[in-house]
Amino acid sequence: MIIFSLVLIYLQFIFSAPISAQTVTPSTDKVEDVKDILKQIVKETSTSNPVTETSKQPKSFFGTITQADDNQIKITLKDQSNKTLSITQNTTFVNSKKQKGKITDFKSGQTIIAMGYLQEDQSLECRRIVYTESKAIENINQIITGQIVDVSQSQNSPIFVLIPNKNKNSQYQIKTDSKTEIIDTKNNKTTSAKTITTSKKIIAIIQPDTKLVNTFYATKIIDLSTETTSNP
Amino acid sequence: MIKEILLAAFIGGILGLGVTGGYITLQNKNVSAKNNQKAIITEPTLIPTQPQSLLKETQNFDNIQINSPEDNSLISSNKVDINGITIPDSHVVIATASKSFIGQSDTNGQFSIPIILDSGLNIVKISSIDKNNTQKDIQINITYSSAKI
Repeated sequence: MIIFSLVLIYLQFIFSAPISAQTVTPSTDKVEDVKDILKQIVKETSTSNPVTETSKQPKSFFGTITQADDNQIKITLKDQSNKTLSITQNTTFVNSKKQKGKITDFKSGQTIIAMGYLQEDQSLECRRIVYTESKAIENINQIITGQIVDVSQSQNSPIFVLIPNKNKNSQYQIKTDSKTEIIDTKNNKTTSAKTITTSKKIIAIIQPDTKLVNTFYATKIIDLSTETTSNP
Repeated sequence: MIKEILLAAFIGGILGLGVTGGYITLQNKNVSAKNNQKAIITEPTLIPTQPQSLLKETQNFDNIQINSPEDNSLISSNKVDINGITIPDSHVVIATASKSFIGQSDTNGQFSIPIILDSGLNIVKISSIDKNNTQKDIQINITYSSAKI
């Protein structure tokens, strides 16, 4: 009997389940790091989904009407792509008299600004359509950079000739007046027209002169000559 | 005599089972130890990494790109920041139909320039001019409307 008991005890030791320690709990810092990484992944995934994102952001398109029905308008954008505008009960219209209108006020060939929300099929669910002439939204300003090659005075305001860096075979004749803002980049403040001299490198914001052909008017001039360049 | 032989056989059997059981238990311990080692190896290594979008922004860039607002955006405020990336340390000039604004890109090429919009559609022209006087241009449309959309 004693031997049998000893054998049983011996067997219990041998066949008992092995006791293993619990897995190491990650430190709080590591948990936070993993959370941050997961948050970043979720954020990037949500921003990389253009349909979801664009459907929340209001959009606006300017174009020429090519077709107008009761339920939708088709327009051609400046880049010659087409956009379908869906009309709903919530769509409001502003006609050419700048008054509240209706869809029948809009005809092919007219230019409009359509505002609303992009749908999954890239059509625009229109909330507002405003008749707008092309000239009203035109931006005639040009930004050019180049070197002044000639300066002359006209009514105390210099007129100068600029050769643009983009096309050294062309020249711009540019007028200034008392309203022209001239900025010295070295001191970062406005300066006088006297600083416009030959061989200076500038950035100019210009627009075509309405009276003189091939002449431009400068609204702003940024003097770059005071800067040190890496390519003298 | 028979009783003693049976007892010896019984004890021998028990001892045999014990040795076999001990061997199996040792084998199991070795296997579980190996699995634990694998678990440690496969634990993710937390190396701080930059988000992909940020990496894209800090790479060398030889053009001009607008990150926000998007082209054809419709916004309800006449003040907006033009955020983008271009060649580092460039002058950045922005022209709407009625106003112009000047800024500069930082050493990473990133810029953020506040502008004021006109009412309605704004065709916004943006140019960067680097130290070598190389000019890069881009244009975006932004509509400012206070009407409820």
